[in-house]
Amino acid sequence: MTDERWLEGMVAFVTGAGRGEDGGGGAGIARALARHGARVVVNDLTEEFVAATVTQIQQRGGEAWGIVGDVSNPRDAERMIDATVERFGQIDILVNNAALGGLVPAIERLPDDIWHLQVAVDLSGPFFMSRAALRHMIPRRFGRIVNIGSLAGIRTGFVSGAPYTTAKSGLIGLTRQMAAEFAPFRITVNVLLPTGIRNPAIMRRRPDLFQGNDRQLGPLDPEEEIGKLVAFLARRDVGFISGAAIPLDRGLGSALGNFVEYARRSGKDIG
Amino acid sequence: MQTLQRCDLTGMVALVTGAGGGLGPFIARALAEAGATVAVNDRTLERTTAAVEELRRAGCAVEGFPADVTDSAQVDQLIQHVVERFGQLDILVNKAEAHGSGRRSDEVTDEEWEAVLAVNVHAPFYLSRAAVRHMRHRRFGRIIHVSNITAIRTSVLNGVAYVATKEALYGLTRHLSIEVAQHGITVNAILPGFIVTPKLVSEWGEERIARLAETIPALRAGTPEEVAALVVFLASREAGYITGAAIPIDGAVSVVPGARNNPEAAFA
Repeated sequence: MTDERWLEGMVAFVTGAGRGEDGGGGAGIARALARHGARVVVNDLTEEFVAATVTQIQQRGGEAWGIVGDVSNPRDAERMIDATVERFGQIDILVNNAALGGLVPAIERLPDDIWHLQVAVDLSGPFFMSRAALRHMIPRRFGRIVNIGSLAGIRTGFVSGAPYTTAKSGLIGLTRQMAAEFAPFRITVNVLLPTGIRNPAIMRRRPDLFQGNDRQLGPLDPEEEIGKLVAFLARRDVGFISGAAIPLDRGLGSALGNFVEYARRSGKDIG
Repeated sequence: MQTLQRCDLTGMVALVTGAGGGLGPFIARALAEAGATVAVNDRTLERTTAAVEELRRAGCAVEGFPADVTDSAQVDQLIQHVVERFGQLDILVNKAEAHGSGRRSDEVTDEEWEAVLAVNVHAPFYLSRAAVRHMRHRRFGRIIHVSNITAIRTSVLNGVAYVATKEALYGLTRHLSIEVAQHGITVNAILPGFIVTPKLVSEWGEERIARLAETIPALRAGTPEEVAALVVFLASREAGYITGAAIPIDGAVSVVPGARNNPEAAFA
């Protein structure tokens, strides 16, 4: 990927972007935005996670700053966005990437707390963060919000369960409504629907999920693939794509379903 | 091959939440007229009792079970009470819903967000979980979530909390359908468009309704009886292979292109 500095002069905020080399989609997106010239605010839950990505970006000559906070807490969301604007004077790009998923029990065994936690982080989090960012984007009449959803938003999670699918579906509705409301302000809101992002921590836990040379199941590169698309959608001259839900799945979502694959390979509790 | 004359729900027990208002009474009545025993739920004793009395006046065999479906423990008790009273639960129609304020997304409050989430997302989870626990032992169940056409479009009148939570509800519908299909339980969502009840006519007036009807390719609003008929069909044994679906019932308003920011033409 060439490092054309499309995003020069812009400030981007990426949630759940920590862990650097050991990180997943968020870290890759943060690195990609920095390579394209944006100043990047890296958010995650701990100082250690945040520092790993900030250091990585700085070592490559990019500009990054870290901030710890929990997107599912509306006051944290406001604090982090306000701190960003205080430091950099603006916020142009918000990437709502932070999410919780993974194996959960089937519905008859699913406890309240797991349900609430995943819905809070995966759906309420992007709402709280977007609301806070919009308050700054609206008066400037410019903004780019990119939500990192999942193919689960239009199908169901291959590994994750009911709360993840529910929240990731809701994220598409959130995207669409905000896109319609803020088009007159030159703010675009889109949602990406990736499946199987290369994530070292997950690969260590579930090596079985990433085996095989079947390209349709090959994991997505967080920087070169997902990050590249986020950087493109964030461009000042890409105002014509909004309210879009774009699958990043190597065509997997277009295939007719296979319950055996789903039930056996995922290892999930299907009830 | 027998022609499908009408869907016979005789011997089946249905629970309708949010039965006190909107489409609720119509759905409860249609289920009762199709032969089901209907458990009527709304949030308060007053609303539930009023709904029960009106339905009984129309000759329907119904009983009231008030409960706040945003409370997980009350939902478990609700399902338990229905099963204890009638011996079974075959059909769950989740019609309880919260509307949004119509505020722009940057002005939606925490309270509105959480309140709409509680009724439109958390309650359907609690209800579905409790129902599935019972239905899977009988290897039969029908779960029907009453969503809204704005789940797949946008809502000027209700705003972001409503749209996000209605689309989220379709996600729950899809996911659940896969988990429980092998147990003979179907889970579907219906997406009504512009439906006019007598109450809405008195609130909005004939003229406003006529103007909105023009925006619909069918050139009319839908009737609550038409929506109820779809619910009855989905609840029937004949509909056992329909699951994980979101079925619009909207006179094609969701397939015709929209108008940008035209609140005058907004019914949703």
